[in-house]
Amino acid sequence: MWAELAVTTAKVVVVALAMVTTVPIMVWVERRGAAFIQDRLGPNRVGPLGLFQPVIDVVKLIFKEDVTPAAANKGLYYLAPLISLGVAMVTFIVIPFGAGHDVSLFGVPLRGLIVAPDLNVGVLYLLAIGSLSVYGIVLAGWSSNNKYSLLGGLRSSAQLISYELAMTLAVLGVLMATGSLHLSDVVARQSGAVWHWNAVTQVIGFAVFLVAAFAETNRLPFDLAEAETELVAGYHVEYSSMKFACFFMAEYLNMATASALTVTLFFGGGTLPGVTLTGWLGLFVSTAVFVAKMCFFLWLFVWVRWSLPRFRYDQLMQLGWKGLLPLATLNLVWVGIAMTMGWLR
Amino acid sequence: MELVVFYVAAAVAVVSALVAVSHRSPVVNVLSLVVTFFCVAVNYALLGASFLAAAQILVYAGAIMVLFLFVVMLLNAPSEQPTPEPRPVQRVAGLALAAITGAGALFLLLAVRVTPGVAPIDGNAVALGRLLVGPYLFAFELISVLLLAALVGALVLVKRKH
Amino acid sequence: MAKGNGDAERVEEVLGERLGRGIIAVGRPQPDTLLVTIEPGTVLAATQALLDDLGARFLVSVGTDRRPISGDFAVTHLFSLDQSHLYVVLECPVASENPEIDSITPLIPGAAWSEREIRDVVGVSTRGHPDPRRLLLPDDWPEGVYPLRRDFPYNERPPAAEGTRPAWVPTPEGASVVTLGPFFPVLEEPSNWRLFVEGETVVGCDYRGFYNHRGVEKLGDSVMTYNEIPYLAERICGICGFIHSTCYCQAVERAAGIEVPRRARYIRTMMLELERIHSHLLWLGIAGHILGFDTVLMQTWRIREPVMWLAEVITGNRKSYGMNTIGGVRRDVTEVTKARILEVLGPVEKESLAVRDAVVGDTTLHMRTKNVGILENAWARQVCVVGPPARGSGVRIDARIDHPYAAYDEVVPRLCAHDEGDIWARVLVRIEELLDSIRLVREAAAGLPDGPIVAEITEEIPSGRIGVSTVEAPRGEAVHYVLTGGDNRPWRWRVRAPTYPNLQAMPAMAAGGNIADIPITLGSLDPCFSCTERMETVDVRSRNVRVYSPAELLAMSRRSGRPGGGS
Repeated sequence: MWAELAVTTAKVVVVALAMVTTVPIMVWVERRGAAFIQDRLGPNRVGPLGLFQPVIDVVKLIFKEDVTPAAANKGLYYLAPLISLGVAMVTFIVIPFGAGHDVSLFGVPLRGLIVAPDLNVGVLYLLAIGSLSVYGIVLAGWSSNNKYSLLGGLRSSAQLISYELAMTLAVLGVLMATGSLHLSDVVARQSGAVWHWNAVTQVIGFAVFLVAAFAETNRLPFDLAEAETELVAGYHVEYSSMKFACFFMAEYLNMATASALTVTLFFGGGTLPGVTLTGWLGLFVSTAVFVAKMCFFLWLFVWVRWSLPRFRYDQLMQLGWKGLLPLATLNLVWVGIAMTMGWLR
Repeated sequence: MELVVFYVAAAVAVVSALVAVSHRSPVVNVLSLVVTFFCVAVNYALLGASFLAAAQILVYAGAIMVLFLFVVMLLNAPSEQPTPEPRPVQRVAGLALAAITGAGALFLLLAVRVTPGVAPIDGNAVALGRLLVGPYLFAFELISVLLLAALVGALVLVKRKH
Repeated sequence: MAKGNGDAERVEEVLGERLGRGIIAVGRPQPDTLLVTIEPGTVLAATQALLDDLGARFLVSVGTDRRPISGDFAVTHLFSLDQSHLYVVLECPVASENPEIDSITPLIPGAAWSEREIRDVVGVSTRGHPDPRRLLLPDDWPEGVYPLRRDFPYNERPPAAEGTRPAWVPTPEGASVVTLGPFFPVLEEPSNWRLFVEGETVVGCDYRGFYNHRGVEKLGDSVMTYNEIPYLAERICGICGFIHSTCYCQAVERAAGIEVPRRARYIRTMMLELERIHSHLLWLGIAGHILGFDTVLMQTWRIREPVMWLAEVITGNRKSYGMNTIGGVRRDVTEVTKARILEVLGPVEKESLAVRDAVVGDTTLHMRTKNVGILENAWARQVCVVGPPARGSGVRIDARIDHPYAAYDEVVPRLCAHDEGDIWARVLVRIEELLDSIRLVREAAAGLPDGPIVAEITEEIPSGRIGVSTVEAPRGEAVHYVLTGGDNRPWRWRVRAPTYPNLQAMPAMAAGGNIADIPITLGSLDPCFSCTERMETVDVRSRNVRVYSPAELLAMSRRSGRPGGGS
């Protein structure tokens, strides 16, 4: 009992710390990456290569004046950033960050570097909790009592709902092929060779998922909720100090979760084709592989953000409903046919 | 441990359901309904029906209630609305309906023997799926036709307006 | 300069036919300027004749207080006959007892602001104006005080009127208001747009600007002398200041009949085109920023930077060159500088081409800009839109070609026009102009003639002469009108920046669009508002208007910054 609790606690601490640490790192990568793409220097004064810039940013945010609009709906105004951050903080517990099914800690089998190995609806849980994040945005937009934030909140909730559909359908293809909702099973099925990766067998599904992931994380080219040049800052226009930081952190955490999910669902998770390692070495190597793959997608988020202009709201909705949804359905049809014909392993 | 979780979740579900029907602000109504759904999902999970729990959150809390919230916010209904006095027929009908429902619930509560939960089946999504396309195939298809009809109906109503 | 002689006679003929005795006098201050003084009652007939029979294009209206000279006011409408390379100046004396004249706005929608401004600053009201609200003066400016009248001292501060409210257009039925500004991230300068929206669709809008009116014209005709004004004119705009100083100098040179040496004309041409290059690059960046494409912003501004350095090499300053003077320019371009110009232009051209290819090939940009913010050709003509927005709507006007000034008679620009009228057309026009400007600077540098850079001015500038001058700024045609006076100062100096007519086309372009389209639609005009040190606030509780002075604002900010220190 106590040993199990200790192991779970250890996993929670490791995974949560790792995920939260990606936030400052990604802030730095984003700013330096943007600077690299835009032919300028970026923050380079605080610490080596400007690495401590995020620390300074946090200090600044903490000491900023915390303004609450006089006409705001106070309760919901305080609740909204908490929902956003809370949801972002609990989604990643079903993601298998590393192997280690044959490793024990304190006599308790570890069952992989995953916080909740027993949750047999893994990916559904993630989608379900993720779907709640819309409340954070919608409530922030509404409770601020500001037209810009209301418009931003409405836009992004419509966007989240639309793209959730395409995303779920894309995930469904993977689940069909796997025959299980466990993300560990999804990873296990993709081991062995690169052409076992779902990104190869379900190219369309992968493309749909990736686009939807950008939309779900509210990042450019789909950052219509924030659209600073139209809606000032969208749903968080009235938020300052650490309340703003909650939204900010949630965005980067969602990015990390989306990257991790992409790796798990489509890029073989922590497996390295042609390499089979067991024991603690296997755990470490697979975790490292997972993190490396994840880093690529995190960079992709940054890369795309600074290479594309923003869509317009109606164009985004059109893309979602008229483009991605049919494509995701097409992918499902393909998976069905391929499974029946025995083309998929 | 599980019992504690159950009681907490159940209590919150009941309270928030009461708030959902009694509070004056529509936004609070919708939000407390979301809390109700969430707590019900927790209870499903406790029963081992984790698929159902996830579906409950995904569909009801994550999608349908968001649309409700949307409508409430867009209409921007004034929070202080004078409630129209119900007519006597309405009162009687309402009371009768409440009595029937209450009696039914009481009957079920007394009649149904509470058995210890069935051991959670791993991958109960598979079991659920087999049930849906097996014994309950007809009902399942019927519901899908019903939903389709509702969809088409909504579309016709909107089209006529323009 | 001698061009258009025959057409001037035709204008005289037509006006004579239509007005008969309405014409008081006809003059030819310059070969390409026709000054027609008419009875104020015939202003509508004269305008109609100019529009219908001669295809004239309205430039701007000027209100002048001539009471100390001739005991009356003058309302002067400036027109351009682009094909004939001719300016027509329609001067209407208005009696000082009852300063009122017929509005020409019903005939020319683009005259709306000019006439509102005349009412504001000289107090000549316009009969039949469809929108007689205040345009330029702050909301709490007292009624009946007209700052551009001669008896109003330049440094006077009238007491604020109490209990005034901003005059807004009523919100249409069923629409709600989304306000952009007075301070808004995209608008670098203050301007207030009230968008009437249904959902996210814009059904109309209302504009209040001139928050930062600085009274430049008042300074120009009260305390500054002819040769001081170029430095003030330069500060009208932070980006295309040289355009305004050139335009002013040309107006005075034309009024006084000063012949500017060829070399000075070439140097002005080079500076004007350099300004166009850096302004268009700057605009391209801002347009990218508005569409959420910050990489374009950073890249174009980086490309732009060497052009700014070049300006510094030539004039000593990145901005506000202090280069123009009446009769020529103040600094010569040496052989060394010339080589430097050509050296810098190479990479600028190469990188501009790269940016063009990247921008033109971006499909998302097409989605955001094609068929968006459409300005119909007919409406563009009626509102008298100028510059790239006009040329993007197929209105083929360019002051450099229609009224050649500086050295544009020898260094001939290409007229870049597109017919679609959407934002994309304006993007293309600007990119083409950018590349053409690089060619023009090269040609001007290659053909730079020898000679003096400034004319010898021996005589005093005679009073009572008029000079009209247009310069094609990056944003469109700037118009300066000068009426010379004694005392070595102009009697009246009127400046019309290109954004002045262009902003008036905004409501038509915004209607039917999406809120998301508004910033880029506005941005596609490349708007340029002015700046000041006074700010206006609306008290939410009383809905009254109060203008705070800088000192008050500072005190307020200090008070709120210190917890418990205030109230």
